[in-house]
Amino acid sequence: MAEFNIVTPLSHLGLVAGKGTSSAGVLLADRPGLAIAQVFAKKGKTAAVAKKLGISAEPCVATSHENYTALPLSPGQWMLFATTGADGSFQRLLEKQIGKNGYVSEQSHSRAAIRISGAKVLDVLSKECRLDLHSSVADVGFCAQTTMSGVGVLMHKIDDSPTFDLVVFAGFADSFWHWITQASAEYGVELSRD
Amino acid sequence: MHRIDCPWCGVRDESEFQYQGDATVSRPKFKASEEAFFRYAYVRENPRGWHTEWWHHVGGCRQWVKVVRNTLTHEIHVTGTPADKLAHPRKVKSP
Ligand SMILES: [Zn+2]
Repeated sequence: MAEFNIVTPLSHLGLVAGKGTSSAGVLLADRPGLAIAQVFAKKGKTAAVAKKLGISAEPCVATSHENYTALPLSPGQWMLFATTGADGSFQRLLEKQIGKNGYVSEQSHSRAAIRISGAKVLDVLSKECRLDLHSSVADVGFCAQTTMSGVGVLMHKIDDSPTFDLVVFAGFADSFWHWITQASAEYGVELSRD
Repeated sequence: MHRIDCPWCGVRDESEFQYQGDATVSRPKFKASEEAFFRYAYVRENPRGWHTEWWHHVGGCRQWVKVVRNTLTHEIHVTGTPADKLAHPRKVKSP
């Protein structure tokens, strides 16, 4: 039987798992292999879909469950993430859960997720991000779509250290990675993959 | 730089938006005259002052936002959804 190498948007960089002991000011990690699916509610079914999935429909409010994280994109639309199920099983699971209230579009291979952490995170993001990321405004669980370095980014605040996940279109992953590694270089940066 | 209050996302930078033109024109009926379609496609008031216009929040929620903006001062009076009827500010008589 043929063996297939799984190719993800940044896999050509040859990154390896981090040691978790870095003293770098910024840590950037590619998060390949996530299951990603976009959910659309039918007209008038936003609350029903939110209830079926147990997620918030409020702007900028992420919901994290044991099995998935949901980030609202616009009224009646969310992007959902899970660590397994990129073979389509995550999409099918969501379809089953929401029933006739909406639609699910498989996006696992269309996005790259980059996790940024370290003491200098906000210094790096402030070079291009126009959102107010102060913890009084953007608490843990804050999420938003915005643009950085000309690239559309779906961002999610993971913890208060702070750590953010930045999700970009696969086709822009290289360009975005180039920008963010350059922007981080002055603080010392460790590059890795999950 | 404008700061535009998207009804869903909240106040965001202009750089997340694309200007999409005059929000006061509406498409003529299918059987309308060529003249009516010409006016719809090309003729604009181009006012000096308050103007109701479309801004597409393409870098955010991807929704269309209706904006009442002053073309002279760039002041934004009010924003809303496409269905909202937005009034221009009352004219204030100069003292
Ligand atoms: Zn918006």
